[in-house]
Amino acid sequence: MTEKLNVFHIALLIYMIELDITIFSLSRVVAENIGTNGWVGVILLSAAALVNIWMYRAVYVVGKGRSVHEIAETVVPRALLIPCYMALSLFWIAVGALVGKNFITLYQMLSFRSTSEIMIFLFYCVLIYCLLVKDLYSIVKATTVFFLITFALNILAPYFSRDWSLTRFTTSFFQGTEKGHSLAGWTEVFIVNIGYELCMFLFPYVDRKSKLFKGVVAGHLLNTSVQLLVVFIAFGFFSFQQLQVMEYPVLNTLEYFEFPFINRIDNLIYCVFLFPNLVSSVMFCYAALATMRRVFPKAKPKLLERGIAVVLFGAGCVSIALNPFGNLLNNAYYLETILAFLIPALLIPAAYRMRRKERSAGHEESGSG
Amino acid sequence: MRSRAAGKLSRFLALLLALLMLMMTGCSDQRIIEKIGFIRTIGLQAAAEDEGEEEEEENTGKIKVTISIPKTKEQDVIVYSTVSKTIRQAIKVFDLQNDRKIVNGQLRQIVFDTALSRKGIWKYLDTLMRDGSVGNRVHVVIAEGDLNHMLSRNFEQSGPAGEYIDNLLRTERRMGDVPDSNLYTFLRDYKDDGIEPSASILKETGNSLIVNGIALFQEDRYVGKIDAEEKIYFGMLLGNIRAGDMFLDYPDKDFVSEDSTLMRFNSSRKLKVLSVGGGAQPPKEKISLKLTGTLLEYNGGLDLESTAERHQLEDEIEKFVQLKCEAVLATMKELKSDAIGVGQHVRNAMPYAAWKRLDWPEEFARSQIEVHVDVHIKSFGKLQ
Repeated sequence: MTEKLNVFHIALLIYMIELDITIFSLSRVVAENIGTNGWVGVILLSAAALVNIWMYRAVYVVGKGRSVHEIAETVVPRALLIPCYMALSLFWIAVGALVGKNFITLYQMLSFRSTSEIMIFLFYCVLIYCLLVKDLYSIVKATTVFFLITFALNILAPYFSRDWSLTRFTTSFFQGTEKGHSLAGWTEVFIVNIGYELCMFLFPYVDRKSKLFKGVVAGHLLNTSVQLLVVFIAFGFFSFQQLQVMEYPVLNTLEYFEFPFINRIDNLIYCVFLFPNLVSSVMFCYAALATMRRVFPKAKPKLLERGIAVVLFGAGCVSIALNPFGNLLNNAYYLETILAFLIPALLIPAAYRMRRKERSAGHEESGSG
Repeated sequence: MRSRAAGKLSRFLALLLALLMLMMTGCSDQRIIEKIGFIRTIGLQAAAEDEGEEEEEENTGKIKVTISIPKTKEQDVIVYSTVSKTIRQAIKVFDLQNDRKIVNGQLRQIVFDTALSRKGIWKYLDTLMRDGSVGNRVHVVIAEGDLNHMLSRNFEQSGPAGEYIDNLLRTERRMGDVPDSNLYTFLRDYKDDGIEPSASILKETGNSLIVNGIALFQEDRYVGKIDAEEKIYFGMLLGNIRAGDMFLDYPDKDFVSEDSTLMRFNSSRKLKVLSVGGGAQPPKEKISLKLTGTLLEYNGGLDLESTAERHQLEDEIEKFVQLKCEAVLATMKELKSDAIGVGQHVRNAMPYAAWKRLDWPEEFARSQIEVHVDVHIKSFGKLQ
């Protein structure tokens, strides 16, 4: 561990993991599940994610900065953990594949209508492999560049002011949902935050100076502000009922750009969204890689990365072949949301137990010494 | 040594694979501009009216689709027409006739004739909106008269009809007195429960096209129009006008002035709900308009050098604009088409459940809407 991550890089990384294809449909999902003035719900759900981040902080503090794998392994026998590790790794690779698949399905519809999705997905997997074989620090450096490219797009927001009207927000709150309010509905909105939980794999790469959780919170709040910007533009630019019928409201807003020298820049801008999706996929694969290294500690260099790239491609192909239009990603993100809360809930007591074990071991040592 | 050679080989293979993939992608998604026919305009008419009587039964529910495709490097267009059930079915027929691949990427307007638009146009717009290649700035236009003739003509001004309509509507919209009626605004206002969509009406004249009014809708059905002379007042009631021109032809008896022209005026609208009504009580709203502009033409009995008489002229303009706006509102109320979004403000002034119970088109028809106009003439041009 030569270089440690710093707070700035952590913030950008978390922002980029959270930002993915789900932001394109966010305004619709908010209108469908939270209803009028749904931006308030976006703030509430972001606060829920903050609570979750606080749980990871507890794991970090109680576990004295040990990696989550180490904490788990001191409490649970390895034989029991290995199947869990395998299952989680496969699941995270599948999540990475589904993020890519959803991005590519849309990309193909917009730009490459007669090119096979599998071919584009193969490219995507090659890119992921290229990033994955580097260490985390290199991934983070690449992420910083990707961030600068995508974040610059926010300056386009004032363009919509001419057709934007506060009247369309209506004065009612949380009304007009399609199926009433439900936990499933609100979770469908919550999944746009998913990604911050991967901060648990950064523990070995930080020290006290890194201010890990300041970075995670900053990245998360930056992402929330972008979500709010997107929802604010959509709720004033589109009518509420219109939002509920548009699959990807962000695409419709991008379509609206018209400059004297160019119009229909939505295709160009959409390409830029490759980067946040790529970072999300890479980091989920990285989570799988970090976990698989615990299962196969003596694996040859690059072997696990290659294996992950192959499984990633396979998972993507299967999801393209079986369910080209269905939203498997949402289902995967539901499960990931449960895991995001469940893992720290299990790890906090485990970390306490580890501490107690260490303390008693320490006492024994000092007693015998 | 062996491992270095193996590394070189694998790098070479990876490069080869990447190159191969790049080239293969290029092969499958070629778009050669000379081999593509870009539809500029789609015209839709009710088929039964257009075709012969014997075919009427067969054509029930069908539409006559006309498309115009500009030729490369020429101020000329190819026009195809056929009767079909949907736009897509028609394009398949055109594809069989045309030697180029017909695409929607450069579509600029969709034009409906009045007969078809009275039946409802949503399902045709739905087809276009699903298409990723169609932008949401495609104009939605209603045409009076023979649509086929209009689309196949070459006009003196801008050449083919498609190009001309596009330029004409963009210029008019910049003035602000016609609403921007495109796929985005139509879907937005069609889905919104507090406003109805509106669109520009075009009509052929001897050598040009003319914006002949504003089409009013109930949901997606064309129900009536605001005449061309009154579209400026509709524009004021709808929202803000930037640099508009207004000719005021005062009716004789109540006015001292004969006529005047207010140039480059800006207007702003404020809409206040006085009462949401309920039961026998109709809803009451107040629309306040503020106009500021330059007077560049005046005929009448007022002396514009006198400050008092200048104020009198402002009062006359206020009175005139108020009358005109009330007439426009009366037309909309009669047609039960709230195209200026009064309902959005009423909705915001009442609880959600009460709004949902309300039959807004009916309530709008019996609304009492006051119009207050405030005119300020900031300059009278270069002469005293």
